Amino acid sequence: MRVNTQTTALFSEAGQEWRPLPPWVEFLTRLGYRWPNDATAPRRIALVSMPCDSAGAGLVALGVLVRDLGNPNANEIDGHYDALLRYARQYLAWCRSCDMQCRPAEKDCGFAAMATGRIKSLRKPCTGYMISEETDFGKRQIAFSRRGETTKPIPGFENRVGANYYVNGESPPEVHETDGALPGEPYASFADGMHIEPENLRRSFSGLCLAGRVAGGAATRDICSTVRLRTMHGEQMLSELLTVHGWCLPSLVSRVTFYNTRTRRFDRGPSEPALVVADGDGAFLEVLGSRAFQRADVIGIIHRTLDREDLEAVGTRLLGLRQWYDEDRELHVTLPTMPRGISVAVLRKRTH
Amino acid sequence: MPVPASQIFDFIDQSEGGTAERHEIASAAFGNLRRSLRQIVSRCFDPDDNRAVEVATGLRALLSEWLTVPVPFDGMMLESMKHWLGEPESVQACWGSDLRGLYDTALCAAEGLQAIENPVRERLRTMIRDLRTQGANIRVYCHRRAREHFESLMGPPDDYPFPDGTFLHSVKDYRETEPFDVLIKVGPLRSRGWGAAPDAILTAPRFGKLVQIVWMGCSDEVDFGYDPVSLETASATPEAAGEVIASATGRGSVKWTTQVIRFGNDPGALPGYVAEADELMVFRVLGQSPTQCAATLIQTDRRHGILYRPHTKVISFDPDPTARPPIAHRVPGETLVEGMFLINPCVGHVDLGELRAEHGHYSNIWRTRLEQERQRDAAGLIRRLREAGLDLVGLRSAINHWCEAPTTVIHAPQQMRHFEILVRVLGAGGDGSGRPTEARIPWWRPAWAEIRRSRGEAIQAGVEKVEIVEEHLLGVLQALLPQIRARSSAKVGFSIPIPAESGVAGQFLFDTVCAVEYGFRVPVSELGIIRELSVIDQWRD
Repeated sequence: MRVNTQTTALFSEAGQEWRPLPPWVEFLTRLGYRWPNDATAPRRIALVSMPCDSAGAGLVALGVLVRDLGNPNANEIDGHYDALLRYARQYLAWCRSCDMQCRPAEKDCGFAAMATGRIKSLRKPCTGYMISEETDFGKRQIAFSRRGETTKPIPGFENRVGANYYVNGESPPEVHETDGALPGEPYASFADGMHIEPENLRRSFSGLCLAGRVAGGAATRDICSTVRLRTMHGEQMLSELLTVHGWCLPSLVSRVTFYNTRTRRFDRGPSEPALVVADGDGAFLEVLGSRAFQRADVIGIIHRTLDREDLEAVGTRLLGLRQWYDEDRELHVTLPTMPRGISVAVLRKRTH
Repeated sequence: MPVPASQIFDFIDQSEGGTAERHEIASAAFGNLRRSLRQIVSRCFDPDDNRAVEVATGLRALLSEWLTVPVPFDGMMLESMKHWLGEPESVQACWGSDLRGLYDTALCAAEGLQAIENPVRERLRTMIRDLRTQGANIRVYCHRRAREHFESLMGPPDDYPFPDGTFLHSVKDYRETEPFDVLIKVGPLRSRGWGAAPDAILTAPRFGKLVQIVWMGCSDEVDFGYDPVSLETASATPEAAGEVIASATGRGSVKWTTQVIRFGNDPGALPGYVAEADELMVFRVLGQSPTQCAATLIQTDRRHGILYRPHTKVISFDPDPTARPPIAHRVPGETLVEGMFLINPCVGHVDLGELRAEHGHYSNIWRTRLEQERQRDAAGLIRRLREAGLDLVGLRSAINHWCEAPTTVIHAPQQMRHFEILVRVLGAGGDGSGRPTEARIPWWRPAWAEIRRSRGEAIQAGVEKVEIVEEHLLGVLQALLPQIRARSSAKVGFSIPIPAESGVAGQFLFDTVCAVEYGFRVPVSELGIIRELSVIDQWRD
């Protein structure tokens, strides 16, 4: 899919009139879009300081999402069957007979959330399945049961057929085109001439995570919902474009996982993202202190209309990072032109 | 409601940077007063003399307020100093003639000030009138309790009152205000304590001009305007080359141009006074004690508040119907915000033979007596109380306050000895039935214990020890949720009895969170206790 070289989207915030993308919106989406995608590079941590509260984190995440649409490897297909096997093992070996559902911190079982054993099928969306104990891990064959009847493990199930099945409550790794793939046009408006992989519009991905505000999961979604974008495809809220599971209707595809900073839970599956966008000072600090993100790049978006205590907490954390991180001047000069009112710091882990 | 980011960025794009006018006021009479008090405070901060420290803490709060709030020069200044230090003879007897000399100077200065208007107020009024003539959209940043001093500046027939929305009291207020023309601030720019203001005033201005009125010698904090991202540092203000000084500094991504204008004269100021004796900076250092800790204030109503350690989790209720969960442990200022309720379990009973203290039982008795005496002969009551040793400043208004019906906190003297005097003078006591009690301890003691429980204090000393909320009390609260929601709709504090079947006797006290404020240093023993804001002020940084 070839795209226009200029962003043609229109922007509206909080119900105000439509206008071309303001410079601050352009900056944030481009920051995400241009963020390096190199798994071999040292870890980077960036902090964006805004003069006011905004949907800035959502805009950065949108830019990253668009970038990933152009990456043919940015999908869940390859590892999906292995993920189903791990899920089946967790259910059969642990969760099915657990006497403490579900308090994993107290149980100290090492899991973050319960595996219910429930599976959905893209071919039969109204049908529910359960992981069956006839699953054969040695042969890598998952068996399902439905209404007490067990389907025998299907040889070769792990091939593409397996992609039709997914954990209930999560996004499928792939949808059929007719089942609600993402529309390409809204994202193409931000793609700056980049090629979008059509397959990626049908595939979920968990390489990008949005860490929500400490006030709760709804807080980030709500502020992202105040931003609307109008493209040739039509009008959509930023919260819809982000494709966070449960935010976006009607597509099943999710290309952004969501981390609830308050409950410390992901919205779907075990997640090891390559990049986390943290919404607010609390989320930024939580992400930096979490083992779940210790290998991921982090882009934090804060605003300066905070109490001194909160600003100092962030500043102290950044100062502490200087023991192992240096300013990444190389990346800094490649950033888009910063609008007045926004300041950015980028750190890069020192290599020996 | 937050202001749309586009609106803020549009404003930033239209402005060239920040403009600040700093009006520095000097006054000989006020200078004498502040220098004397500063020296008294410095000398009295002697850790071996508790009374001296108490006096120093009280005077520190007084002078800090006068330096950061446009108070009128009236008799209250004199009365307030006398409340802490008493008569000059007693100062000499306690602390010697040097301190007596300083006190005499302060008293004389305070007397003289009553004849003049506070030049800060004068300057402020003139400036506001000028700005109004220009049609400027003005905001004033001040502490909630300072607001009355601003409002008293402008009134009929010469001026109209400040319109709604003029005053900003917190970073939240600032965050929710749309761009305007002029921000007025009295006192230095500080991040916490007296005169505190958000750093965002400099790093994220949504106004064209900052007008600051300060007493000479009160410097802004060097690092005010903190931005964790910005690598720039503020350049030093150039030496004064005349009455007007201009400088340009960078605060984050904002450039500021500052003009300093000086008014008045203080011959008593030493050369280099600015660097030598910035009282607020001196007091901040003096006020630090190893027995004190940083604290965050939750204001619960117009007169009361509770101090907690930063990042403490407190049990609370969120009346928002969408809140999940509504009852939870929250951190003041982070997840516990205005509009929510603090929950304080007030549990336990007092063993007095046949007597059992239900919450409010004792206060009803002594308050009734107090109201009767007040109605019958208020002046006589005040005289008898003073003669008995209850020597509070503003005793009349204190009595009126104590007569007010309690909400979750019982209004009463702050100090136990004052309460004992009050009960003794009133002759209050007993259960009202006329039967002799089998009490082994004086009546005023359980009455005082009741007051302390209402303030959240743990009761020690062989009577009962109040436990913090246990797991099953949280369950009890969950079961009471419908009742809690219904009561919270009135948006004032309330109490709900703990159901008897829970196995615990007592009350849940719900206090509204009116405001959250940082920047206090308090003795550890004062944490978690409801205190009057006038008392809490002494611990403001």
